[in-house]
Amino acid sequence: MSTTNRKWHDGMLRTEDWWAVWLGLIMFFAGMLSIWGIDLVGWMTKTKTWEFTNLIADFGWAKLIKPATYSDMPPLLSLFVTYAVFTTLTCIGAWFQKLDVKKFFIGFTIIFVITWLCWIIGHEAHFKAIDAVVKGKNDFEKYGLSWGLQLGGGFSYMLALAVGLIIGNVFKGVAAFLKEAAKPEWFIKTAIVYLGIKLGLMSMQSTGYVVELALSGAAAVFVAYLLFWPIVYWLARRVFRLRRDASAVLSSGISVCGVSAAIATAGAIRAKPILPVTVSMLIVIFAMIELVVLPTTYATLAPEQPIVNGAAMGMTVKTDGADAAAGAILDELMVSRHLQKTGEHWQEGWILSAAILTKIWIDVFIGIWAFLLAMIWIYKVEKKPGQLQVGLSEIWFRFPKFVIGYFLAWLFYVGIAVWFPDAIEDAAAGASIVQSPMRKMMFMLTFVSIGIMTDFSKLKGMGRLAALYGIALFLIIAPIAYAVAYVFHRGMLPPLAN
Amino acid sequence: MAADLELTLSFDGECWSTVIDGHTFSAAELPELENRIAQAVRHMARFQDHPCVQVWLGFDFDVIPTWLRQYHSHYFNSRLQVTMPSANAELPAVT
Repeated sequence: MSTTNRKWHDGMLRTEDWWAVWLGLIMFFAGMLSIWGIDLVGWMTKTKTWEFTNLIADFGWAKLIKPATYSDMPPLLSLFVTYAVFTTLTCIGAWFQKLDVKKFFIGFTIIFVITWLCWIIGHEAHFKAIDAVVKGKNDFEKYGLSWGLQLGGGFSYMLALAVGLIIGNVFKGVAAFLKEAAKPEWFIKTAIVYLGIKLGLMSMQSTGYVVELALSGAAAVFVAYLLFWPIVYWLARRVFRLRRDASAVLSSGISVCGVSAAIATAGAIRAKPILPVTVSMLIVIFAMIELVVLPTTYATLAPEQPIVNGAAMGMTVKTDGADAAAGAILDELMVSRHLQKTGEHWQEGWILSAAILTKIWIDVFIGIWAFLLAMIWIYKVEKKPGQLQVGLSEIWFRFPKFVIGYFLAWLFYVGIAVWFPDAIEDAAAGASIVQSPMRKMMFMLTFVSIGIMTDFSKLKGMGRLAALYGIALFLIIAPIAYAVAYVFHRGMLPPLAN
Repeated sequence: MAADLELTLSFDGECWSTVIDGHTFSAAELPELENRIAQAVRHMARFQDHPCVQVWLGFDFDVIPTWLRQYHSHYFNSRLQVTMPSANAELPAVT
């Protein structure tokens, strides 16, 4: 049985991209019911800040986790319901995607446990608490700390990534087993749909700011396709003497949106599928390097340019998973460092949104770009005009579908703000559970999974390609991306939290 | 416009291939396979009265490794236009 895309609706039940939309919208609708006073998402578990000695002296799950709003529900039951709901939904998705459901179920369960362990450990006060007053209290003083890393929620992300990487590179047998369920792109695209809800809520408060952020992100499209791509292609052909097809696929992978661009370009120029597979292994590894290096670098070098840093991240880090993950770490690091340094508390999520909005602009146009490349290849390279045709439907098949869920969620809440301002408070009640603990859990699942998927030993034998990737990324893409982000976003700061 | 013939393309790591009426055609390069498809179509009795045959080629995405499918869900579809020979023309044998 083969899988081909023929009709516009093909893949709606079969691809992870569409399943990100379904998982996103299921929770979006469940959260939306709060408008009518129905709380269908209050079982979701939230992490709490805790202190080690206090926990040892008197252990209780209630010190570590709690249900979002079902205050009578025991914390462990809340965690079990969270596990049951998300395992059931993802297993249904896995079945439709023709994955091995039994293997997926076991793998997802293990990844879920690792995720929550990392998340809970990351909330220990010595890692998380910041020595500043937030909402009238100072957690550092509250827990009586004498030292602390003061990383906010960032430590949980870094820990999840480290554990994933250890599994992926040291326990390779375990990683091979878990790969059936380690789906960073699926998890992050679902999280991005949830983030659409957050953006909607943010729009309710600062519409002009969100619109400015969204529109200026469009610059990234020109930069990625019309600046990065030709430069990297030229470098690949002239300096590294790569074949035309390899140069095109690699240029798209490095310059545009990572693995999805590499596959789309290879398909458009009808390259042998082995080419995007090889290039994708390289992209996944480099995306991990970017994810580890860039957030700390940007946060350290430009602590007063949060939105510039976020947008630059969106143009530089390839693959949606790595970009969103890097944006999330950057967000946590910059917000906590700024709070620690100045006592000013930036709203969480704006830096991350800058990174994701920029990336989504780039993602959306990959179908059109691939279509143009297909035309160039047919008319100029293979010289088969008239004999070979490519349909406009190719643009739709390559369109990232999770973006639909993201914009639906966003526009729905913008609509509420515009037409039903009285419902804002009720709408925000359910939405805040979906966009905060649920979204963060999907981010955490992404961090663990992306680590499991990354095997640095795959770099062996890719010397020339890896050299081109490294040079293009750090000497061309990162500096230009930063300069462009600076031009458009300099001086923009996240609004202050109440 | 509806295609006259719909084929699924596959790739085994070395060769592209497709099946037409139960017969497998393969070639190391895609243009070479398309030439073979065109040749085969020109021999098919059901298209003899067509001046031109539209062949839809859809790539079987199952060929892409499972771990990679989460990033993108489409490789390519294309349409091959095969011009049929005049009634008197002598056709080369199908290889």
